[in-house]
Amino acid sequence: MITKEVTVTNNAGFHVRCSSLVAQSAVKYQSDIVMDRNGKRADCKSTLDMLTLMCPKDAKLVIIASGSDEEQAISEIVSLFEHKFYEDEFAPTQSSNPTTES
Amino acid sequence: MKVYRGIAVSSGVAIGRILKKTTNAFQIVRQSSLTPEAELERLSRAFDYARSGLTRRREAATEQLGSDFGKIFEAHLLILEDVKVRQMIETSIKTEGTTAEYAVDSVFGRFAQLLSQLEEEVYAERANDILDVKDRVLKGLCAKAQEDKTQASEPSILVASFLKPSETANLNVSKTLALATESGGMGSHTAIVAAALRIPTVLGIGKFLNEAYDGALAIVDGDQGALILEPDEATLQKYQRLQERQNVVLGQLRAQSREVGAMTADAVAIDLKANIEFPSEAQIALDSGAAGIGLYRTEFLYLADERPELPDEQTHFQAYKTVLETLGKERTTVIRTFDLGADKLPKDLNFTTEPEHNPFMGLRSVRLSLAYMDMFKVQLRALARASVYGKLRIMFPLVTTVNELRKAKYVLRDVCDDLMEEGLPFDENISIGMMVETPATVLMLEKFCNDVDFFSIGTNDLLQYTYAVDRSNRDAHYLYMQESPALIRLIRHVVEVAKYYHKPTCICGQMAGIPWNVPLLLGLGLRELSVAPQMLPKIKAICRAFTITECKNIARQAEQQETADQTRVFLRNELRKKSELRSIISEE
Repeated sequence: MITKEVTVTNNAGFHVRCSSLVAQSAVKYQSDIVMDRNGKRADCKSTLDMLTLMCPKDAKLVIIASGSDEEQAISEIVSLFEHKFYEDEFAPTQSSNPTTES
Repeated sequence: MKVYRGIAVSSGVAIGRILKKTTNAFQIVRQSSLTPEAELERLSRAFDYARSGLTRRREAATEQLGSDFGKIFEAHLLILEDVKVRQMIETSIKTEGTTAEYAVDSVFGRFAQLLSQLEEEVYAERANDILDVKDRVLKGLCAKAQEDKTQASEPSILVASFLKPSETANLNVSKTLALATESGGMGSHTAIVAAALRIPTVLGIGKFLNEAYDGALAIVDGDQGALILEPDEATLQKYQRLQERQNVVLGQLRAQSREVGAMTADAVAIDLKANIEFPSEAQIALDSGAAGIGLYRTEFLYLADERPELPDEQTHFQAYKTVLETLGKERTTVIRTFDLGADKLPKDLNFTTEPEHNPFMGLRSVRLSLAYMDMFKVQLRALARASVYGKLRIMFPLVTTVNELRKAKYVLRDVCDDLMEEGLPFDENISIGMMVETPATVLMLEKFCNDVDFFSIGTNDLLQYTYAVDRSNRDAHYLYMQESPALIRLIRHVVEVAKYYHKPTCICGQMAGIPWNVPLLLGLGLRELSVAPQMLPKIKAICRAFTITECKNIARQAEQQETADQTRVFLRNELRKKSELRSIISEE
């Protein structure tokens, strides 16, 4: 089992797009991967489950991976957080992106 | 007995049995009679069905409306592919032997509920997406649509957690005694619709559905804003008496109203018409004694449906035809063209280049129509085509310059030329009018006289623009008073100019429907009033109680008051002086 702490750096917090990117990564791996925020846990393979943690900007999370490919799994997911989910490379207008709600 | 308080949005008392509106559109059976393998097979096919449907829509949407809209379906696909959701559904089938429908319904439903309770709006909105996906999968399971319980067999009190405006508009009025919902408020569309259909309604009650059982006796008090479940004997009797009294008064008024046209005590005829939002109200208006339709607000054609598209010509046409046919060729029907801002249109159609800071002062109403000719022409074409069925008058909202008016008329002429070429019939003598809603319009009124057949004073907006107050702004709301001196002065000016140029003028804002304002308006010179159908009997009775001379005196004295409050107090007193009106106005 490996754990790694990450911080949400996206301005709009950990929202649908981020959640789905994590899910898409996590699902490739055999390991169990969860994220923990202050004791509440969510399955990283489920977009919806992670959303229920409702993490705003600056929230601290712990990613816990456990399985044969836990190292690659956790490194890929942590990397998503570190790259701010590539938010700057995406066009600003996305209906699921809260920062553009008028 | 349990008493719940909420917001009274539509008056009246109803006593009856509860009917809970099912949020589920499908029949769901819990235990399966098939093997888990068979259910899983069904599930898999349903997911395939949903997936291919969503993928197709995503592509079509992106192509036709742009990637923003396609992204909605993208989000739905992501929800569909959620690993945990699928896992939970399959577990339910495997370990509890449930049907695929039950599993799908409960798992998606749970997530939707979890999300809807989160604080941040953006997460709560996802709940609706989840419910959408759920319904799509249920459809794929060929789940049988549930008998729509909102069309009940016995007249009942409909309760729900919320009602969409379109659902309210589609209610079978004769089977619905009253409405009570957990959410919703005064300005909500549902409230407006309920009031228009004269169904006693209380909204924003908060959680109560768990205590409300189908078939239980209940009382809805649409005057005080209360829902009483399982009333005790004393309460029941009290409300039964109240209901009887109300019915007697209303029955009397309506009977009088229907027989005779409105006129003052000294037999001056008043053209008393109705404001409506839906075609079905046209008949209600006539039954309540309206001499015509003074304002048919067409906005609900754009709002009622949840599809992100504009209503097509046929939709417009059907609505207009219904109203015109109901009123017939002897009574006028005034239909107002689109009066909303871009903010009320389907969000994904991107009508403005940037979000408006001041929608009330931006691209709205006739401005928006002129900027989006295609949309405008669709409405005008439908109006022109429908004109053969009745006595149509078309009215343009928020006209502030003569140019706008002329342009709008030109588009109508264009549309009629097209119809002529196509050999389609239309009334060549449609009256054209405009709303008077801004200080600019009032000040320059004479310049419009050459180009219109009639005016209609929209006091709601005129009040807002004159006092620079937003009626929905709670802090400034105290300035939004119908009896405001400046408004009265502007109305007098309009009446005088219009009279000079022989242009009929109607007043169709809320002001006309407020009992104590009626003598004032008549005294200022107005002879045409248009009010909500349920107010017609009362307003008729008020007209009958005063002579024009009395009204003129009242108007003169009202104009001498300094403040809106003083004016209101004065006007209310004048109304109270008439003993025959006591029973009507005691509720005000």
